[in-house]
Amino acid sequence: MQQPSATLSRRRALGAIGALAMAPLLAACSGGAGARVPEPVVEGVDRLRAPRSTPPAPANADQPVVDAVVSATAELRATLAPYRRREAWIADLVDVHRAHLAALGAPHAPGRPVPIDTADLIAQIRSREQALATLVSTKAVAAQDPRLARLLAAMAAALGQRIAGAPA
Amino acid sequence: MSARMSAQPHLVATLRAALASEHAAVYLFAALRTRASQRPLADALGVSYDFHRAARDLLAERLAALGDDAPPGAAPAYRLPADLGSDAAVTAAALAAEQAAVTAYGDLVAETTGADRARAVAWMSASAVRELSFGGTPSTLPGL
Repeated sequence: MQQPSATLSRRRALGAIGALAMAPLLAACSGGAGARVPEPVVEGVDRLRAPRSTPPAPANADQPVVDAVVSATAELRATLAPYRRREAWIADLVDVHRAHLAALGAPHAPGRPVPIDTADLIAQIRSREQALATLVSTKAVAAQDPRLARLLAAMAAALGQRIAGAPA
Repeated sequence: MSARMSAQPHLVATLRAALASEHAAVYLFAALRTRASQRPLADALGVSYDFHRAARDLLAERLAALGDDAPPGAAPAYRLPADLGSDAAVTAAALAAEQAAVTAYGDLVAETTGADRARAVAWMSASAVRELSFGGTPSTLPGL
């Protein structure tokens, strides 16, 4: 079952991609200190015909894509975190997962650690990173928004670099 | 432009641009390989050359399948980076070329769908990994 806090809107994820460029726009939308809430325009509105609640947000076709990648990334980040002091390579992976979650607008997405066989730690981690890279690549192909597709492809490429550079 | 191709003009234009880039990459890596004095560097350049040549051929086949009767061909020559007189300079040129390829494949990912995008995603990862052969360091989001 999807954890509510792991559910993200594509708007958040894509907003993270161009956060700098869009910062002024987002600030204007969210309202900073001193921002005034616009007064509703009521003059001339037929109250009986007016909608009684905020219309639902349009369906986001990429929501399952974002949710799946966030969930898998957060899980692997939580799995590797206890081992980050063992190898610089592992610490780098944890940092990359954290950065990727931030890029998807979910820097604090919860993840449940999955037991890992420490007798063959590097091989186990390499295998799991490969599985994550495959998932992210698949979701990049499935994404409808081209900017999200490109972000996911870049994430998969970053994982590929780490897998190639795994300790012997 | 044939009637069959005109149904997907944007895709054809995108693939044509990618094919033109691959022609240039093939030329560059062939030239760089002749300038490498160390065997490991020559081997790594050979891997890049083979990859970009295969990508070039796949793109040409794809355009032919789309009915493109005038895909871009290779230029007689391309401008090479200046001063390729050392392995360090050759390595730097190869790294820059692979980094440019990662970015170009990212564009291809954004501009395509389905099997074309799947191929571009795979190429993006492959080029990002080859960057490491030329002294590149892993990045958080290659090509972005």
